[in-house]
Amino acid sequence: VVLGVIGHDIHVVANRVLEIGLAENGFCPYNLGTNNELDDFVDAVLETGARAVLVGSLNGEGESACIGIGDRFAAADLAGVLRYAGGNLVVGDRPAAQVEQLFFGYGFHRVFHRPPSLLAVFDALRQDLA
Amino acid sequence: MSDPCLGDITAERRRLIQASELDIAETARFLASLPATRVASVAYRNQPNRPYLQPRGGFPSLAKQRELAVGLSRAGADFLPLTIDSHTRHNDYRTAAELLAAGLAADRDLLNGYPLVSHPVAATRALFADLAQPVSLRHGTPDARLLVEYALAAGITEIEGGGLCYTLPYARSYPLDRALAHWQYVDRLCATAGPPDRPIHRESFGPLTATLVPPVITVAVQLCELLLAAEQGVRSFAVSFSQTGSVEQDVALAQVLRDQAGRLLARFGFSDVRVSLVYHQWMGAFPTEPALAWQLIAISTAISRLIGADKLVVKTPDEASGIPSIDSNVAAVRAVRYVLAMFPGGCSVAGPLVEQERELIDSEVSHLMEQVLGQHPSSLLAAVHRSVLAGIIDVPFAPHEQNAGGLITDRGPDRRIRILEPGAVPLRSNDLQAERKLLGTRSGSDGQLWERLLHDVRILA
Repeated sequence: VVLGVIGHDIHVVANRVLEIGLAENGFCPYNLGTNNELDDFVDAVLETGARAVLVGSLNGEGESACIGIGDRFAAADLAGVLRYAGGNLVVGDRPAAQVEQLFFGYGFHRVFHRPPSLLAVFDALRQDLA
Repeated sequence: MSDPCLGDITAERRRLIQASELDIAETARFLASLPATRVASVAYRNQPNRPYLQPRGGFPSLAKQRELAVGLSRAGADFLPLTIDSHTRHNDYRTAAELLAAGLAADRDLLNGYPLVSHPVAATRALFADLAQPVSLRHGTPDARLLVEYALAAGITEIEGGGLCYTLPYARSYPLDRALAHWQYVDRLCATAGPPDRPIHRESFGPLTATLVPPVITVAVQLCELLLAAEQGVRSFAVSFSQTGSVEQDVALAQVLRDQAGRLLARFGFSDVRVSLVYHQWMGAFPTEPALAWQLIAISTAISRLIGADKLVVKTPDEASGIPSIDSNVAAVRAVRYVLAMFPGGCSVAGPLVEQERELIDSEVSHLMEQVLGQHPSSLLAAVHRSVLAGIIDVPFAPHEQNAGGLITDRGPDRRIRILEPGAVPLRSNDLQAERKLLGTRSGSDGQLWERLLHDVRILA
């Protein structure tokens, strides 16, 4: 599983905790850390053969930085790779359903906007990768 | 150890500032002309029987920055802050200037601090000209050479930062060796720019990521930056750390930091360096509820007395919600003064817990610093650089790609920060055993490590 934070975002704490949690739950995390672009995720999947990418955004930059992720993965012949978005995905307060629809439109399979826990992420991954 | 990295400082300075309005001789004359009350190193020489108070704050426009400075000065702040915006911190002076102009035109703040390089020096001087307190530069800049040149030209006599503390927590990819070399410039600049009897004061930033940083790493980073500065001629320096979340650990950490600083300076022949201790109120996630935030501020004020801090960096009840307002900052300074007045003669705590903690931290720090200093490279700078790359110095939750990230920490049942997995941080086996014993065995109901970490990160929020 490739994970990383997108944009100029330097919020690294949740990213690090997610990495530890993934390992504890039987996944094999490959952490890109902060300051990534979409292509960094594509490259990481090509290099590692990962089956899923977890794109984090804590400062809301995800709204602009994630546009076209589905197309980008399809162009690299990686359309089948699972794509999750999570964090504090947009600037300001907006209904979660609205944010989810926005990110589904970009080409994500699951969207976790301000999740109360990471457990739901691990459960979803287990289910989707089974 | 001597260091060949930096050449003739005057030649380097001329090259750096040639395109700016700055003038080396004029800066020196201006610094010499400042009243003694504006000079941080003089303030530390005349330490009253209480910690100095310093709030934080920086606004893009001159008008708002002036309002903040006057408000804080009147409220009883002993040091006035000048916090720099993040574009300037990353040397993007053009964007800072553009956003300053756009913000002034739209009458709103588009920068999260004061763009010091984008304002004329005379304008920054005028902000503080009739105020009696020293001004402290707060930023987070891996390459702060030009920024500090501007700061000194504007009469700022205290410079926070360092090659480790302003790089590992603040940047992802700025090469650490370059940052260390640029901070060598800043240290030498501070050592030589002011009058010899009123040197520019340097301060390190001990909170680092302020997220479960164990005392051994905090102290080691402070000692490295103290030695690096002393080597360049800095004679007035403050080591610092932030509230750990455990009173006992704070008291023990402060003792070790002071003792080890004194011992190391003596060992390397720098006994003429005056070292002060700065304490930061809780730097982790703050409670959103003002009633709780005020309690936290009051307790950390009391702890600053227990550890004998020389300066206290003050938080505000707005902390959880963003950049504090001027009113909120002024209220915090008044509240902290109110609490400090309850400890007129200072105060201390001791006991078996503090002693146990002190012995453990002291042993860990001694061992780690021997590993850092025992590498015999060409310079102290190279030894510090190599220690980070090797993971000997490893800052939890630092975003920097050269930080090893192998050290994993957790909180014990008594809320003290403990080392669970040392990574490549050298710990004697009995010290690691002690860490794990104090951490205790967690029952299944405590959940997995990631859950505990999330909980610990928000422990006082």
